[in-house]
Amino acid sequence: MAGHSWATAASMRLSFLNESTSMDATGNRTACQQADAEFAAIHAALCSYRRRRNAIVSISRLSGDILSHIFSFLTGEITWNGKVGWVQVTWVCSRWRNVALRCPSLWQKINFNLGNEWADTFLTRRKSLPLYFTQFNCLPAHGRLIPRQCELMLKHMDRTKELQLTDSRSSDKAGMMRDFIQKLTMPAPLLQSFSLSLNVHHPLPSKLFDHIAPQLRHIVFSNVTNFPWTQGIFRNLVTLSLETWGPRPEAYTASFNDLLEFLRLSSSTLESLRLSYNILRLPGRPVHIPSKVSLPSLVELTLNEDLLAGTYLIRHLTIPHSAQVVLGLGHYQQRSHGELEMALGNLFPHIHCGNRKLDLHVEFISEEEGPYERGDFYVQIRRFLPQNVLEAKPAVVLTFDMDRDRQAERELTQDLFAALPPHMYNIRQVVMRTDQYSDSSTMAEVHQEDWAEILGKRRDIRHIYAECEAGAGLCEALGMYQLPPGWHIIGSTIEDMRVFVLPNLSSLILREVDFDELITIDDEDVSVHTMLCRNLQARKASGIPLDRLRLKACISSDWSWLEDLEGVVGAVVGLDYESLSLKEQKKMDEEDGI
Amino acid sequence: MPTIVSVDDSTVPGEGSSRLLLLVSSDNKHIVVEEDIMSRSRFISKQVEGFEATSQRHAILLPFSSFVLNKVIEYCSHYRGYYLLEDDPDAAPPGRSPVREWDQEFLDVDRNMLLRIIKAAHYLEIKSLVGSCARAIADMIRGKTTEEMREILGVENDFTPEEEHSPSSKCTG
Repeated sequence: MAGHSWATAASMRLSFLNESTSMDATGNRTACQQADAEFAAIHAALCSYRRRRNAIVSISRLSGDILSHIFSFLTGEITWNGKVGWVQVTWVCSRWRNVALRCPSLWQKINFNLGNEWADTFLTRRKSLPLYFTQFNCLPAHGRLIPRQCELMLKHMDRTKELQLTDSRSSDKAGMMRDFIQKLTMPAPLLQSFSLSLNVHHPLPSKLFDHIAPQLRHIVFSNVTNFPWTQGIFRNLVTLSLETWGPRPEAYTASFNDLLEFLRLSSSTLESLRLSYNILRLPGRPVHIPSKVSLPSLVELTLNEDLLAGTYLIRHLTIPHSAQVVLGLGHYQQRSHGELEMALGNLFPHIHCGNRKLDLHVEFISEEEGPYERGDFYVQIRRFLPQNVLEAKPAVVLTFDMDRDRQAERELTQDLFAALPPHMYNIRQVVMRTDQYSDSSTMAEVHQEDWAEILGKRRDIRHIYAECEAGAGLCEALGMYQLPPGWHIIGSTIEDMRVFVLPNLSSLILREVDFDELITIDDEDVSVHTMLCRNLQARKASGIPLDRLRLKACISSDWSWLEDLEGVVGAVVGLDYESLSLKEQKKMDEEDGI
Repeated sequence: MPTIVSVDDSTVPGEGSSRLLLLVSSDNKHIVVEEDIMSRSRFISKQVEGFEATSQRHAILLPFSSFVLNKVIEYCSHYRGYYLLEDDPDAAPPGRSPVREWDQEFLDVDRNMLLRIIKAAHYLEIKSLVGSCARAIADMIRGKTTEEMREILGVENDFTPEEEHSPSSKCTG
């Protein structure tokens, strides 16, 4: 009925077209223009009626506040490879667009992944409110965008609240980031959080933020050298995380005096302290410390440092009983028998607390044979750990990474788990770690039965950390163990894809899929990603889809696999950065003449 | 504003440690609920404060159905006595609500019901429930194309050609 009346109305309105065959060229042109005008009018009328129709559907009856609240949950979506992610909500209908455009809080994270025009659009829509520059990295493909992006960030530093910079893996372009860092000498009065991840060691400018960053509370640095411990802007920090990769000159490491002075100045505010890999330098001779540094607000202490340097620092701190302690104490240097014994003996009296969540990870890293046998190190650990672990009642998480001495690792693992009584069953995590350069198949054989036995006894374990080549052993072990519901596996790449079809596995977090690993895998006929998709599709087909898959720092030569994942897994989240296709990078590199 | 009608004490006993409230839904269903349970609602709390000022108790008429109201009461009953930051009027707004497993199951309902619950929660000023509903609705459209979003929520493309191609629309980057 409705169709008939509209057809009748249209035929009347457009009746002039009936005579078009007898018209001359001018007449035809006029008729076309008249028809276009009619079509435009019809379209405008349709839009108007669609708007009125939209106004009565349920979602439109929600207030603008609620609608923008809904959109706020989407703003964390990753935009990459030309995909605009959550911004699509502005294209759904006029009301959604109006609501989104009138809500500056949605546009706070300035997005560079989509190019300069989008960055400008975000800035305009953010109006004059504080800015968050996140996900900014110096990818080769972004090379030509960098100067403009840097200029933009510097221009808006006075209203930047969060600055997150990640260096490129490409040495050609990484220099741009380091040049940019040297320009960070203007005041940052609103800056609260500053994260800087560099691939090679590099210092901060001496006049960082012109010494004006009174709101600065959170610092996360990788490979930043000569950290200015005593600079005023680093007082009152809530979070300090420093790490270095690879060898660094000894002059860059922190002196204990500077570090302790810094801790004293931040003592009332510091909640999280993380120092990893060669930040600490053991003093050549004992330092005179008048008193211990008390950190009453500390919630988390993470030290991944040399065993002796780490224990030395711990002895000079007083931390709350409730603070979680994560210790990754490596045996990096040759130490005498007495030094080892003293360090391990001193460790527990200083960190032991019945209520503390303690994650202890002791590893043997030294490549050189010392004057002592490697076995000595394990003998020391075996002597001190079990008795102390038994004393630390709840929530102890043990991680052992002693892959270079399988027999010792096996014995220690057996000892520890044999020693753990039922009241220790609140251990939630087991780390399976192998050295990627070792013979993983042999490793799996060694561990398979042990792990199956351990897991069989420990029904409360819900998380497994599995690093790259632990796949086979992990699968075999889990195959023997009936998984309780709600299991999580966290790993880098997991070689054996049978992991994905484990029925009760509800979350898989791939922390890093390394470029080099993927290059190797991509040389083969089936990439790891294709295998991943196939296994996830199989899970879905059998009615047990994975709830959550997280990929971080992922690089791939072909992104079609990610599209294949859509609808297969509950949510793919956390595709953080460096998420451009290699093809695109290559194309842009060629255009740049690289 | 809801219409407030007087009720006698026999309908709503007001003595004792946990007083009762009479809530009347738009389909005229009378639901008696303990005041404690509904204290998470800023709207109800303000109404109760008003009752205390006038020393009179009333039924509170609400503009949504008993079906929706019962869902909201179920939510409030579950979190009775729990501290949720979003519902603390004295706390700084937490931004986005955290994921709560129970909420996810509770809100595993059809689209229309979800929209009704969020409207009711907004009316009753239960921020934690508004946040959880908003998250659930966001999850429905997360990662979807524009066309899929329209289809899921029953919305039509109502842009004029000029709006569709305006600079504020599609930034080509």
